[in-house]
Amino acid sequence: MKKIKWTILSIAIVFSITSAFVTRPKKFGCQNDVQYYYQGGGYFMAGTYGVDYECGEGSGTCTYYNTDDQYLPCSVGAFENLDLKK
Amino acid sequence: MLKKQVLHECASALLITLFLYASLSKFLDFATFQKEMMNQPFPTSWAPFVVWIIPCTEIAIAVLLIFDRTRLLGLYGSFILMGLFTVYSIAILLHFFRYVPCSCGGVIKHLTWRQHLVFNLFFLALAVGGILIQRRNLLFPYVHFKTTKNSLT
Repeated sequence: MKKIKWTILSIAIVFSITSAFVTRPKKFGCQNDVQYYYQGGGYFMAGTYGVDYECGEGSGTCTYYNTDDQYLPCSVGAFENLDLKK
Repeated sequence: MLKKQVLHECASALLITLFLYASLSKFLDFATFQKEMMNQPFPTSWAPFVVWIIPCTEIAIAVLLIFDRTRLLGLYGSFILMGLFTVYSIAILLHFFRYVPCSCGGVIKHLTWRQHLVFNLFFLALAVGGILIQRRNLLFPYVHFKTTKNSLT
């Protein structure tokens, strides 16, 4: 029984480690995608960093990017609309 | 008896696979996991702790499930964790939160929330079944031996 147990457990461990590495997402960096910010129940295009917006100090989500019709967090901080400051 | 024991080992192996895979996937794409946790419905000040607590707990449970002495503890841990994930999936399906990204690791994040619920319920059932078998094994450790001996005579 011990042999069977360790065979099953070894297969489980090797399989989980291997599949975690195989399904690891390829890095392409969300900063290269179009950035959106969240305001008043909707997502809006943020524009160019440093020109239209900046991410100030804060622990929330500053900008999001769109993938598979989902908005996912990209950069951390407080969204600051520079257009409003001009 | 042997068949039941093998099934019990398979249930534990499936739980080990789930927890090891989910935790390693989170560590392998830690930046994304951190960002997704920042967007969860709990206070953002919790996020720096939760990003470590969840994957480390998953690894700890997987290790506990490997050894006979600690397996029952691991099964209880699996039951609690899967129970929490199930409650969370139900809350999302009932639209308790505005927008919630899936902070799951690897391919699991591609499941819809309905599929997530079924997935969680399956592993919750595995943990419950495992607890029942393990408790019976601990309470009546000699039942198997006596039956075998009787059947021989």
